Amino acid sequence: MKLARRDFLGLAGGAVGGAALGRVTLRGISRLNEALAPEPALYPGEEKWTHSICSMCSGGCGLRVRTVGGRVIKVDGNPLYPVNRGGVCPKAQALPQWLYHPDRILAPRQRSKSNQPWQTISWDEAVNTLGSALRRLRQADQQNRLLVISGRGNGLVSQLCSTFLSVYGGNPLFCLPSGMETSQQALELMAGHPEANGTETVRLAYDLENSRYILNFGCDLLEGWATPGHTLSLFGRWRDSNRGRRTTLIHFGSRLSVSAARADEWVPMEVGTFGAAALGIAFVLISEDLYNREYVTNSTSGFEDWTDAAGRPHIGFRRWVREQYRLSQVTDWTGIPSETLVRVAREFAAGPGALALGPQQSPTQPGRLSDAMAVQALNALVGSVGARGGVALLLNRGWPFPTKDAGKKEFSTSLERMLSLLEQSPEVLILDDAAWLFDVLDTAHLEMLRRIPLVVTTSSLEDATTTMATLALPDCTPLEKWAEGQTPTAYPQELLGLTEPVLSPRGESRPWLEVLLALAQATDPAIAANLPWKDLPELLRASADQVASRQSGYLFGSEVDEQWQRLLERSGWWGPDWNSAEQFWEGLLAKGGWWDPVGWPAEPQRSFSTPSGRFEFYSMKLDELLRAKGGIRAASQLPLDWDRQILPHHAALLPSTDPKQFELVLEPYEPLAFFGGGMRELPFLQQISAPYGGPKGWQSWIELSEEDARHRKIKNGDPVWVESARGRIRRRARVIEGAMPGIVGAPLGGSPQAGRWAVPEDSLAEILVPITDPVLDVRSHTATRVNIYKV
Amino acid sequence: MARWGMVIDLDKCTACQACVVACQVENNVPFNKPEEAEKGRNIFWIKLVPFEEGRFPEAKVRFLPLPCMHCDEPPCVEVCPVDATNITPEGIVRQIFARCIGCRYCTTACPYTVRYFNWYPPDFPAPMQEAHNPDVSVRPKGVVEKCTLCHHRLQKARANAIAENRPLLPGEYTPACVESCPPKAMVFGDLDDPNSEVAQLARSPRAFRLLEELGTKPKVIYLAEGERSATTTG
Repeated sequence: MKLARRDFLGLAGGAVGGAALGRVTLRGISRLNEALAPEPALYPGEEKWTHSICSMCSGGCGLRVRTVGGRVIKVDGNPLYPVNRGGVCPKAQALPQWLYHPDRILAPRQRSKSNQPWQTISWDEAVNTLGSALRRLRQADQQNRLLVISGRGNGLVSQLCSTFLSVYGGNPLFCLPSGMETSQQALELMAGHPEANGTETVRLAYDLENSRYILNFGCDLLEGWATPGHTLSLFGRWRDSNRGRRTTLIHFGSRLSVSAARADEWVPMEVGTFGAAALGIAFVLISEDLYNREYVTNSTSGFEDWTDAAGRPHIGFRRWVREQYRLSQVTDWTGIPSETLVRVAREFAAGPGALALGPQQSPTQPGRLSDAMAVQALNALVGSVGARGGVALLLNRGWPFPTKDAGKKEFSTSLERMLSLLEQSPEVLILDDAAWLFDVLDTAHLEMLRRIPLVVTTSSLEDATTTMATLALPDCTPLEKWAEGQTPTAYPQELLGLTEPVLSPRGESRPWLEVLLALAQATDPAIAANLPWKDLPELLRASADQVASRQSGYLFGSEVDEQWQRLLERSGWWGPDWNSAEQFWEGLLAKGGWWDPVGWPAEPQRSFSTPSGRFEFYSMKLDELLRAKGGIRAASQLPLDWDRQILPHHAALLPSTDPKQFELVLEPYEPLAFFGGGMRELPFLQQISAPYGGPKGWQSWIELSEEDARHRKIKNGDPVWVESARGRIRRRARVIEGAMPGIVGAPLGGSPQAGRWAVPEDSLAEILVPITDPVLDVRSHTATRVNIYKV
Repeated sequence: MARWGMVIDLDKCTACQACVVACQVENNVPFNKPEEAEKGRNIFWIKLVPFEEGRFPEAKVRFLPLPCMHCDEPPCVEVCPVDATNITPEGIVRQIFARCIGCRYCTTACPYTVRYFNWYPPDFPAPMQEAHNPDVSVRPKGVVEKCTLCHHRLQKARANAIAENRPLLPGEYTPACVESCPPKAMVFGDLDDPNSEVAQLARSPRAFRLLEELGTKPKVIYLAEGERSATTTG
């Protein structure tokens, strides 16, 4: 309905102003209307609401986008999208600022060196430049000198890119770790790897919606963890009195994070002692006979002492914990009072829906395997593995990649492997949405990057990757292209989202997937033969046809639909929302996606795909792995402390340095504003980067306790040096009264490194000393001993 | 006649600040550049305020989303010499930017410090102004601005209702911050409608108002954090 200005003023004045006549003059009303009412002559066009999917982090929340006259005005959550059901995190709210950022790169460009000026080139030139470089490498049989690093989730773009790489030369695609890798591995070792055919992998998932008591070992649930849009809305549900019993959240950790502050209880503890704390709770569960006896007896192995096939006796988990993890000992390690451990353990065992989360799942600090196994052992003790409100390993099906012979695709999240390839001076480096990488690179790495002859970036904004690049192939924002959503990290259901572009790309920017298809043509028609689609919609359609034939799941619907579908499936019914592939495609576009709301195991898991068919406190897989690693043959004598390495255990984390030199422990974390890396260039996100009201954006800070600050005569806002064994960097101090003495919190991310608002700053990576997991040989922590003093 | 008010459940708030960004996008609020941030001249119609209580280990940090309280007895209105700020019969404390002379009496009078002065002319480097909400004017240098409870949304909703010859429906008018809140910690509606969710929550034993003793009668009502002990042992 369109209103003429006169009508509008009449209406609004009558309704708003009319009753206000008692206090406000007529002149005031007209001025008010002038100031607040839209000018019809200036109103820029028709108002529309469309849908899209966010790609600010790997989560992929559903978006509802308001456009006026073809311009994006506001972004909110899509109430029909199951992941976020209407809410979105502040990053998605800032999407319009990304779309209309003044430092968008709007055309491909090239330069001879990273210190030379850019020259705009055409897409054909750009693709041919990269294509011929790749062809040259391939002809010289040096395919391994191409390194591709991505920051995208596990969607079709990543699949296409890894297929390209596998056909090109068997190269892996390096991706941003989700942080769940170690916890997933721990569960795979103890509960087995579910049967999956060749194309499917498994993933770790938590049924947080139905959890009732959560022991969180260091996960920054309300900052950078899993899918913020999902976790933040869950937090509201946990505390919604209309849903009945409140879900209690107990946060273990040394840093007074937002998650610690907002939890029902924060249990401060020493850095790197999550395993000890979990086993201390296990001690109480076992010695007070609070564990789920029925579950442990029938569905687990290795709980009691046992003898293996070769006749060697092994210590059971029960005796191991009772002898080694007495509360006084655990208190010594962790600093947690034994009364707290006893109380928490009793509450944990009191009802169904108990879940132990962790340890410390953030992309750069996935935690240690031994700690993760201790946490999973807790879940097994209360019967929460594969149960409602618990943890499970689910098949990771995602968008099917519709090609017959995709070769062996390889995704790698190992930072160590990536950095070692970087050190071998690659010829071509492609940084696809990889601004996150610069959080883990120090000056030496940046120097290595500068020596690479061809560095390609797909960044849509001037950021850290463009400062290093010599060829820019600008991607566009999710609003300007077909957006695909996939099952987010740790999400309990399987899900695929799909939306059309909200508006056409700004300038000449082009979706990376379409550039990849052109690149395949330019590199080698034989590669292109494996990727026979002309554009993204065609690929999506081919993939959707395969989903349609799966004969499971539903198109997105309301929460009422969801309940109804669950009810039907429990009684053995499945009413398909489509009869043909064509109908499925149309339904996908109309509803925004497909999902399987019944994916979580309905009955508690009783059998596991481990050698024993049970949940293994003593993991036979790990046993095998360590034997292979140590070159121990099956029949040979095992070292005396062999069981100690296999059973969940505690081991000191931080290397002992002279405590006088470095008195504090620095714990890096990801603030919500910079979760998933990148987007430091958006002023809206800079302004909210510090919930503790630290310096208001555009600079990094460190958080230290009031006591530590007092000893060092440091006041809030003072510039300080943060020094570790590797070097020192400058930061602003933020003094937090309630923080634990001896602990320093340090956010990743920080000021923009490129563009009009760039503020040069030392990277936190300069001083971090990564700690490697002894079994997995991957980075588990970057907690570092430091000292802090005034500049 | 409705009396618009808001309830913010501090128990559900995750301190994510989605409300802060949503408000800035909706209301064309100018963002700060590095130099302005250094001077603390940021404008947030709603901001997140941390409160630290006690020292380690008995410490507690609380987070308070702080919009304009839309007081029934607003001290800012009393001091404005030019009637640039006043209260509507529906209880919205509004700001008439065109009439403001920038004297900043109101920013001083407001005990909640939620009024902001434009120290700089609006600077949205091209093409950022493309994202401007056409329903909200961009404020010039030298005027005070503040939360309007997304008053433009009320005008639009009411115009729709009148055009369709029906009363305004509950939920038809919601400010951007409330709409954005991922944990649904914010509830908005008519405080005078005893059946509205906001009025029911406002009667909760957990409800409190900021600086009530000043007699400002705020219409933003907070719900204190829930008692954990009462729920975990049950």
